[in-house]
Amino acid sequence: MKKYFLVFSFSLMTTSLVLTSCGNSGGGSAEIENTDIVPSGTYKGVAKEVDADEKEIYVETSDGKILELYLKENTKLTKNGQPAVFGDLKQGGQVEVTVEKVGNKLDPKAVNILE
Amino acid sequence: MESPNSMWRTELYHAASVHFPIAVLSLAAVIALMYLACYKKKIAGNLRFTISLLLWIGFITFWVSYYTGKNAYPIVVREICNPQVLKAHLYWAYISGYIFGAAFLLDIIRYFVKVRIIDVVMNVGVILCLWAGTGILAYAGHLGASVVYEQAGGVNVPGENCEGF
Repeated sequence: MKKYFLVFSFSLMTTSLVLTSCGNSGGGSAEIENTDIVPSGTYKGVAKEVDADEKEIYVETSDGKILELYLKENTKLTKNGQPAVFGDLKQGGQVEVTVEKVGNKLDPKAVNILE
Repeated sequence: MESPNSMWRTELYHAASVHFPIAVLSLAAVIALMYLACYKKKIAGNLRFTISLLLWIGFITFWVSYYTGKNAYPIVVREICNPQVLKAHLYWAYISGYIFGAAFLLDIIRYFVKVRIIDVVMNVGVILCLWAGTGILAYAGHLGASVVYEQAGGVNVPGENCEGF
């Protein structure tokens, strides 16, 4: 009986560890805690983090503000003015973003990758 | 693309899975109170077993619901007006998960190390972690409810003419 209990406990613990790692708060995303909300407008900056899984970018503007942007289907993504895909965004690359402040978040209208 | 009227949307798996661990883990915390009240009575052994059973089931299903929540996150975060509430919900849920994890480990140690003093210490540790975890889980639940009921996160809002119904 004790043997079965041991096997059962071990299985439970392994399952939990697997589930824990699946649900890890980091989970493939490069989360930055302190981000800023800025007025609607166009900003130039550096793509500080690029998260392909969540289609999310963090842009650090020239005045040190960090904008967290979740790209949507209607976000216009370009590279030097030409249509681009999310994969073209590189960490550390220069970008120009047009955002609209909606509620307590920034809605990215356009992201232009600069080279 | 999933239909907004469908009940099989990615963001709804979290709503479907999250209430079970909340109920089970909260019940474990309540039974821990009863266990302390009946510590010297014959029923204490049964209550202690029930705490372990609920804790273990709750802990496993907690991480299942956390996983479904992580899948819902990128969808819901784009819909709501204040993503900070959703982030706080995720953060506090994660903290409570680790506290329940500590309770789970202490409980397993307690079953295998049959030394009186260790048993008492582990027992106290399990119960304290259960209460702390439940308190934080309640706060995380409150934030989750706020995302749904104040910001309509994951909710299909029918149009004025109720198209699709």
